Amino acid sequence: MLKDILPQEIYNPLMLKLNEFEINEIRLRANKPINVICNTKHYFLSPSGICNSTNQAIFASKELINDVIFKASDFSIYSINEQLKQGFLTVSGGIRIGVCGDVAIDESIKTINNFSSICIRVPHLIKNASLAIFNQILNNGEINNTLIISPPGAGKTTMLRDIVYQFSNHNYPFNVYIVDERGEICGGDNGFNLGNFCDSVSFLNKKDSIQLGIRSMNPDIIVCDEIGAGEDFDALEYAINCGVKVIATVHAKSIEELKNKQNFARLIEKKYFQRYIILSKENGVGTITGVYRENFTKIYGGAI
Amino acid sequence: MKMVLMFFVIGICCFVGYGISFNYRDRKLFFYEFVGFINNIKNEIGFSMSKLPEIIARLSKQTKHKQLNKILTNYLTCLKAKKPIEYKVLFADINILKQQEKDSVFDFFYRLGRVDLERQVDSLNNSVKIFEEYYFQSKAEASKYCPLYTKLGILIGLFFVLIVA
Repeated sequence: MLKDILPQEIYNPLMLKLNEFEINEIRLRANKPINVICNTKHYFLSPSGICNSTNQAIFASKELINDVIFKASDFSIYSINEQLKQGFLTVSGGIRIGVCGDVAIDESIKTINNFSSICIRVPHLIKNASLAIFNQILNNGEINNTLIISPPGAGKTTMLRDIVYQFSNHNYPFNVYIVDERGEICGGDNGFNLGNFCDSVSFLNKKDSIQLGIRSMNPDIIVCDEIGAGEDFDALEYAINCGVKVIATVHAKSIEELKNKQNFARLIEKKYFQRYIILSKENGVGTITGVYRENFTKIYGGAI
Repeated sequence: MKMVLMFFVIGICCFVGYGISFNYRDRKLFFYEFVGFINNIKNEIGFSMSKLPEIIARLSKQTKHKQLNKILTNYLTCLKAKKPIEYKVLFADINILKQQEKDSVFDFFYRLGRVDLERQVDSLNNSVKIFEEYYFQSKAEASKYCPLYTKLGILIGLFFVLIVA
């Protein structure tokens, strides 16, 4: 809920012409105009709503940024230090706030303080967003291991959420285990309705979370957002070799970029993923630009 | 009848004297409990890292001092409403603190939760020192003025009795 984290001087003008559903991101930078991103379009926040010119824009101050983080942490910044070390914090409703500031280092990162800018990403549950690709993931009752590929902010997590929801919506009683490392897929206490067959563990790293899930929850499908670290791949490989299906997302713009990424060669070579789905912001967030088989032959979209 | 009236006058004056001295005792107790409260917060934050609204709700139930309890309730109301604390709201119905003491208490609550764990614990340790100082001052005031006002009450009572007699 944006109302819970934004001060009134920002929230009120923001809601004059927009509603939370339309907002993708709000960016606050110290001594710069407040930037609002709706449907990939950039606006500035003004006292009368949103505008295109900086002349009328409301400027953010360091105090304002600190206040937002203070409120988002439930008035307890000390309690979110582990999240801050990773550069973000997730608040109720799955809103993710990326933070920049001074990093205190003592051998490893101790904390981030003196915040200079924040990026508030508002999550959405768009019902049926994944319908166009759902039959690629679930084919004749069989689930294909699927990797969703997209640059940041192109709707990976929203797509993932809807895929989970669609299993339940289509009455497929698969046990879906969600690895919600950042707490944004399920959305925490005021979370999203992702159907009747999903379990989730939040704020645990992917490797441990996957092992925990396989050991204790007997999942049919493991859903995992933004894989990237070396140990993520080991964990996914372990899950697939345990007979669990995997639906995951990764940051990349194209298959070419994916191939150039460290650690992906092994997964591609062993053809662990049967479907690769590429998203972009071409015609708005969540545009499906391509669906490919494990050998990268095209099912839908342009040539690689 | 005259005797009853005399005892009544002495009683009233003693009660007034005791009432004035009570304020000093109450202030001493307030700061004693406040220092204890800060130490409890420090432990809660250090060990459980619970969120402030949870901690304050728990600790306010343990606080026996009425005015401190009122301040904690006011503070908790602000936290639950997700609003920044306001001076007027925090000290609504609080009458035992001097202006400087109110400023220190406000400053304490204003800064609470705004920094990381290490700096928060340091800040709480500093606050303990500040409010221990207030406690010692109020204790000195109490030991000085409590007997004084009580005795003064008795003396004034006796004085009135002598005049009436």
